[in-house]
Amino acid sequence: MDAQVADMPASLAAPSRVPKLSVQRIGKRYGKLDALLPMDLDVAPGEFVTILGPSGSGKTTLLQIIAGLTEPTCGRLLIDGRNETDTPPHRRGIGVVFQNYALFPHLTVAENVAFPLQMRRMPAAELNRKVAATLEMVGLGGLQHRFPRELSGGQQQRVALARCFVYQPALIIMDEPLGALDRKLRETMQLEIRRLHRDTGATILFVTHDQDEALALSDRICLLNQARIEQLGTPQDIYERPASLFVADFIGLSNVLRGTLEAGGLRTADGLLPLPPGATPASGSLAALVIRPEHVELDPAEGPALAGRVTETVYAGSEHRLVVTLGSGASLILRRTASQGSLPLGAPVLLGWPAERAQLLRP
Amino acid sequence: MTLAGRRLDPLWLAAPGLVFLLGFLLAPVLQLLSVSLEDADTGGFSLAAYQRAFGVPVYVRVITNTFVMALQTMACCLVLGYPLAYWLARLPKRRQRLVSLLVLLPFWTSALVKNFAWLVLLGRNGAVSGVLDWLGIAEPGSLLFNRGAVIFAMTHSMLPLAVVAMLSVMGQIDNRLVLAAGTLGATRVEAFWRVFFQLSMPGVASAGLLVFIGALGYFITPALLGSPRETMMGQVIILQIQTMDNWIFASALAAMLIGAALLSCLLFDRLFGLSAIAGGSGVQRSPRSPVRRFGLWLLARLGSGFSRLAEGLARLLGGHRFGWLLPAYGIAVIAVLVLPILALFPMAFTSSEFLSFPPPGFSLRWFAEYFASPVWVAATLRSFGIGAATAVVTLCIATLAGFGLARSGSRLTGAVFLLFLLPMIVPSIVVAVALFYLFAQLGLVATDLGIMIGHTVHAIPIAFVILLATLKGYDWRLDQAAATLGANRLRSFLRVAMPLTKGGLVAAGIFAFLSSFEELTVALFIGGGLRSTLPKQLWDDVVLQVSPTLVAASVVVVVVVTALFLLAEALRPKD
Repeated sequence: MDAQVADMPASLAAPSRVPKLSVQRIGKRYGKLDALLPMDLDVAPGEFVTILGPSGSGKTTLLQIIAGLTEPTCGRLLIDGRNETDTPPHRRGIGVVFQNYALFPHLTVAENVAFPLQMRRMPAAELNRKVAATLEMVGLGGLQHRFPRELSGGQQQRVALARCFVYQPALIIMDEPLGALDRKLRETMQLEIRRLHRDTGATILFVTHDQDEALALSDRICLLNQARIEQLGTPQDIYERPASLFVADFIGLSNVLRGTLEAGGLRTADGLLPLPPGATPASGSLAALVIRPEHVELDPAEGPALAGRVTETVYAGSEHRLVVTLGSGASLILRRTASQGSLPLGAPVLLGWPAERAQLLRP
Repeated sequence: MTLAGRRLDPLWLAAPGLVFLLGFLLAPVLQLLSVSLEDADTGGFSLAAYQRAFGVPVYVRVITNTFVMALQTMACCLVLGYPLAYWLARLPKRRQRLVSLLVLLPFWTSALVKNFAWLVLLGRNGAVSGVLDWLGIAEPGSLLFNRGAVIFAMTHSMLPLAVVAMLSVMGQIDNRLVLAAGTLGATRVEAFWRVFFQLSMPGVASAGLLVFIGALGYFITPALLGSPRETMMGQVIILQIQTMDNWIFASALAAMLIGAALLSCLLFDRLFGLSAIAGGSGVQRSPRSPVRRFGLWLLARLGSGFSRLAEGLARLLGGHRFGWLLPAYGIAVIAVLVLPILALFPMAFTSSEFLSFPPPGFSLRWFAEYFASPVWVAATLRSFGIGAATAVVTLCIATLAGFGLARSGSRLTGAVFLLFLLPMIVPSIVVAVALFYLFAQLGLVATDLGIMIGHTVHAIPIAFVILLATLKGYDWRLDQAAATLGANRLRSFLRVAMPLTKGGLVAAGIFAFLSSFEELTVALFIGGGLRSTLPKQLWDDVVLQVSPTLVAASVVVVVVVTALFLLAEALRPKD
């Protein structure tokens, strides 16, 4: 029961209503290469789902299929319950924000934003009002007569957002829209996108390879790896209960201790480690324990205690990261707040963690 | 002031080329202009030549003819070339390169050879006549010596140039823009007109400009395939100089050609910016300019009109059924482009005394005759020699200039760049006449050196454009890296810059060679009767009599050109 709720919180659970977007057994092959293995994904109306994964994992292929820019090899695509698998892009009514924006270089900012409205044959007066209002909304009032090349990267990004939001598509796809911006600007634009999402109530499918962006923005994350879905869940799920070593490694920092299962724990080179409660593994098989650095404690009051030495310290502003090398040569990372302070190199330490904070995964 | 600030700007490397072009292009052309204003008897100022040109009906007709035919050729090239370039631009990269070869090969095959092939194919006993006669469409002998034949052959000669110019712009259009238009609600037809077509306009304009200017100075096609009614200004210029020795009148006609070329360049510059010719970004029009607004409005109307038509047809036919049209069209046009070149081969191996297609039997006799003829062999060897010398000189000038321009931060680069492209903009017959006049004073007429200098003027733009692209694509930080790793300038050039840019260097050299190997106009004037190059020899014989030896000679030209062209394409850096 508990596990179910954690997997899919009530507010976000696939609702009884029709999903905004339903990907059903959709796959894509290029010759012998599987760009996308047949997969399922439902997105609820108003949800913000991030497609996350390393490059080459199939993110862009999935997105292009949904936008209608690539035809799937198999499967069905439903939007609002209607089969739209073979609908050309201009009739899907999906908004797409492209990587590098794809702003029309021969049109001004206002003309770029007006383009989708012209395609919908909106009367001039209403069109002008909407364009002006949308440009105001993304903070570009006054720049409407500039050409895209005269704008900075952040401003171009805002034009791309305006061009997408102006016709109020109910489903918006964003393909690494912040990839070309520097860190500071990315964070500003992330807030901007969240605000637009809240204000418009649009369903957003957001593609990125940046895990921090995915954790910060999403209602749910769909983690792709090697053309298939590795895990689908809330950011918290994915971070705290990774379904595989790949997920644990891809999202955030992880400590991985490998060993063989036996009665009472995991036999590793550094001793027998306790399993998290509730784990009922088969004896004799290979497995790994994954512990997040923030759960590793110095001189633990209870649980296992592994001896090691501090071999590296990293100062990261708000925290210190210590790398501790254990007797077997394996190393663990732990976090300490700025007020807790660091330790000198070579200092002997005892490490442990609350058993329930560890995750038992197949290697 | 820092030491670096006192260093010479690299633009100085363009100086040899500038001096060369000032001496052998600008100065002679200006001299020619001043000759056109001379009085025949006193040598004083006079507009008599111009009064004659615009006063005598036969010349008025020639001038009108020239402009009308140049415009007709341009229109045909643009209308026929645009769909072909569009098809090529959207092919996958590998296939695009392969198919482009079939467009570029006729581009590099000399106009003389192509026109000669049409002369044979369309002639009384030619294959095309035979087929059309058999179909009952046209009587044999009716295909040649009329306006249609001339426009057709001129379009055939210039179409590859138009396609290449348009393709270079279309290739730079980001395909995602068209996709984006689709997701924003535009049908494919609307996306084409409102996004792709608009962005391809600079390419269309530069193709139009190059074809128009090239066609203005044309004389080969009207002379070979036209009747006296199709006489163009180029022919009159040749006649006035070679037969009448009337320099003043010839200069006046040449001046008109230059004037027309300059006017079209100015117009182009106003509309698109001259830098767009070489793939630059061109001018940025003010968002409120009426020209721009009218263009956008027109394309929007075209877009929605054609879109409704396409959607209507699709509803009628139950889907978009015309996807095969564009590839079919592209393949058909390319077949017509390549046909005359391929048709030369069977004709050259004919056993017959006369040219006919298909040939009655196989024989090597015409090749034997070609290789046994001292005139042909001398002309061939001279062409190779002059071509090689032209390639070396052009490469030196263009490499230095390319380095200079690629590295310079000077504000003068734009002007220098345009000067190096100038030989492309001045009709080649004007260059040839102007150099002839200059060389007559310097004693360089009927010398190999004179021809070589003329060919170098002609070859500089293509070599320069290739080298500039190569050198601009070269990452100059590699030189800095080599320097920090201990290489001096020479070693860094030999070990790093040279190996990385040699493909472009060799390609530029080969294209310079090819442009000399095929050049007729300069050779016609400056070679005099004594120093015949291969194209000049072909021209002399074509005018006198069409014989299978000529076809054999043409095949030699085509084989040499094809081999070198393929080599250059293989070495040329891929962009």
